[in-house]
Amino acid sequence: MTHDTLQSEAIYSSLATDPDLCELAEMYVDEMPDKIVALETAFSSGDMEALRQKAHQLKGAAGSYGFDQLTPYAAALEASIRNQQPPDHICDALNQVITLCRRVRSGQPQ
Amino acid sequence: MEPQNQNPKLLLVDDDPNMIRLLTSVISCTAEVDFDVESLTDPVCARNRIEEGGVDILVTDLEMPAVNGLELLRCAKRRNAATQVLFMTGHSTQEALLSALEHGASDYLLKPVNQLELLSLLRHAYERQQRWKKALLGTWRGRHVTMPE
Repeated sequence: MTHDTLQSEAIYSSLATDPDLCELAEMYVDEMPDKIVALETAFSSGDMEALRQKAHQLKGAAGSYGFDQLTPYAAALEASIRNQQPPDHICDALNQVITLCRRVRSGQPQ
Repeated sequence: MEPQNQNPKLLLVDDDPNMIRLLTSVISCTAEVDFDVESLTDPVCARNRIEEGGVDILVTDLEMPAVNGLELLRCAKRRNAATQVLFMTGHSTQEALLSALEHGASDYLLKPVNQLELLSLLRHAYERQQRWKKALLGTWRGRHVTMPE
């Protein structure tokens, strides 16, 4: 998980070229802002179990939707909560996840 | 009367609606077998649905709130031992996996779900379910044959 990986450009789904599934990948991208808000809200309200569940779902779904880059970061966030890491550590893991979530795009790279 | 040929019933359970949406589409669009797919995000509703019967294949997430996949497995096997159960899991403890095996889980899929792996496991699960169903039906018929006088 390098700094470059986190900061580089848009992330596209590997399903974007699948005629049967590309629309679903677009829907997943469209809903991403809501997922980010849900993650932020869970953290800011101190509801670590809700945050863990959302990280768990993101870990499973993002890769299934062709956004493989998100999976290890969501897994790291889930693990940090499960292992009761200090809040700063969890916050860092969350910020990494959100940074990546904000980079997902529908369609294919130009 | 012989039952009409019906599509096999597949129940898909995951508390994440994103997974339900994706997997339903993958199965409907690309599976070799023409499944009747039902999907539920509420595992409590799923348990009730399983109790109603008629589920040939259950594909369920393992870790869910309130009722987890292991409970659905036990419920499905109690209702119909021939029902094939596939688990989806992101990570699992050894204890959970051993429990799944002990209670007759057919197989498992790691999340993120690989579509080809899912389709392959579904085909195998369907074939296994059909063999058991045929064998069980054969024993039932054997018991109900009218013996000549």
